[in-house]
Amino acid sequence: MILGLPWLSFVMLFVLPTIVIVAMMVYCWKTRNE
Amino acid sequence: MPINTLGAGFFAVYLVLMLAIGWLASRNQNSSEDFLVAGRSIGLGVLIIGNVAAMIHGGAIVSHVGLAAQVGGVAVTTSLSYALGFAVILMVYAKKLRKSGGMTLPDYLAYRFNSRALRGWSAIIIAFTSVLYLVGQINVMGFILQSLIGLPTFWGKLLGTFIFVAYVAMGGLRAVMWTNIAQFVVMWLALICLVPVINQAIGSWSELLVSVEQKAPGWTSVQGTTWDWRFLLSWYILVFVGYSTRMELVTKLFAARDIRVARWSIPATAFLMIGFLLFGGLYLGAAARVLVWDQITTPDQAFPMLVALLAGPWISAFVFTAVASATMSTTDSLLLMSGASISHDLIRKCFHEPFGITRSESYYLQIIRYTTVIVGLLAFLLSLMNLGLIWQIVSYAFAVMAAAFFFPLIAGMLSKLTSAKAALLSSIFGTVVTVVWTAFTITKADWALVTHPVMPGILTSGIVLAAVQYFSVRNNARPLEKILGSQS
Repeated sequence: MILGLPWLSFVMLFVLPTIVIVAMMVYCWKTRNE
Repeated sequence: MPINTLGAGFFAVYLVLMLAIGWLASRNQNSSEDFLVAGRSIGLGVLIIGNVAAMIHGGAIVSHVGLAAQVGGVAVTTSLSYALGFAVILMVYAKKLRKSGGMTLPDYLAYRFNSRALRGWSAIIIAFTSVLYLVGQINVMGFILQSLIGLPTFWGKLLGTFIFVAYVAMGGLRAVMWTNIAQFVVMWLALICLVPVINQAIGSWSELLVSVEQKAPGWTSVQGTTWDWRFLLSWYILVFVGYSTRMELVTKLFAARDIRVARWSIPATAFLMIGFLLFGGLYLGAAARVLVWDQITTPDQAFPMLVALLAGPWISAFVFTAVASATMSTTDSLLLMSGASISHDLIRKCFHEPFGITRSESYYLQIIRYTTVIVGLLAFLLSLMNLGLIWQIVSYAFAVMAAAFFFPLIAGMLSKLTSAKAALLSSIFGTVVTVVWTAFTITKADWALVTHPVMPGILTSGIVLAAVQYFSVRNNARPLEKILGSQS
């Protein structure tokens, strides 16, 4: 249990979306001069 | 002081504020570009707030909490799908849409495919689905104003519709953006007000989730209490496809000051949206399941009942005003999109200009304003009919929009080779299959209930696009290089 959630739920709700959002920010930064 | 008196007070202040903003925004509007894309002057902060406010609607609060309480907060809150949907908008659409110089999505499609038919078709779909969304939102507004002020539903719907139609017709996108800032602040303040009262009633976040799991085993699992994996997968796909073609967001990108603003607004919007959905689905959904589930007859009553149970009259009145405000911050974008599709795309671009009818900018500005009022009135009249659960209506409008645009947009943006004929037929077939499937779903045909209507719609759209493209001549559109660049 993490934050009261089963680990798979925690991964689906918090970990994976965070990775996608960080990837989006990296993309924005890398293409800032386009 | 009774909640209805307080509610009337809060709502009166809110009403005056919205109308004042609409009037202020209406000054110095001289052209369609001023009205539809606020002169392309929107900066990053306002764009992010506008995006979030447009996407978090009354249904998203009332029905999301209700659905989460019913089947499970984790199952309902598909954060990953939201994030991936936004990633598609960022990586595929943002730059090209902003760069195209259009004002509406049909503008972009007409430009990309050099096709008036595609413009006309997409404008009809956007106008139709936006009205459907509007009907759902006006229903929520009637429901909320009944709880807030004690108004009969009819008058609640009428009052709500009057407010958002008035400020949109006056100030266009500038009014939408400015009112969204006020609506955004009110909504978050109100939801945060609920935290201490829930905390006092049940305990901390972890204690709440442990309680809900004891009360409804499986509530915190990925699958929820009742969904099977097949339905869960279709839910994930629905949200992903729906959010990667989310018109309220895509359309606002046209108004961004520049391409960087359009791009950076996407991850920030995704972050805030997911935060909100986690709060609504997990926190409020769990609290509703633990505290009020046994006292209600339909899921849509969960949120109002939770507020009535926990909060005193002041907080309750403020929260209901905030929900009405969240509803309006979505309806205004939808109304503007719908009005623009009819007046700008259908009347001006599909009828007047091809037939050599010349009119002034001020004429078109008037036409957009009249159309906005007529669409609002139509949605209000439709909302008086009994169309079932709010969430169903919104989710079917989602499905039609997604099936109509997902493949044509993505294929058109990623490949120069995608033809107008392939995009148009793909959109038409995807839409027709979704609408027919939806009709059978609503009438409870057993075979149709196997999956959400978006699945067969999307599948058909993809197959038709691939097949037509394969068999047809590759007729590239004229201005492709400008939009796609030389690399793609």
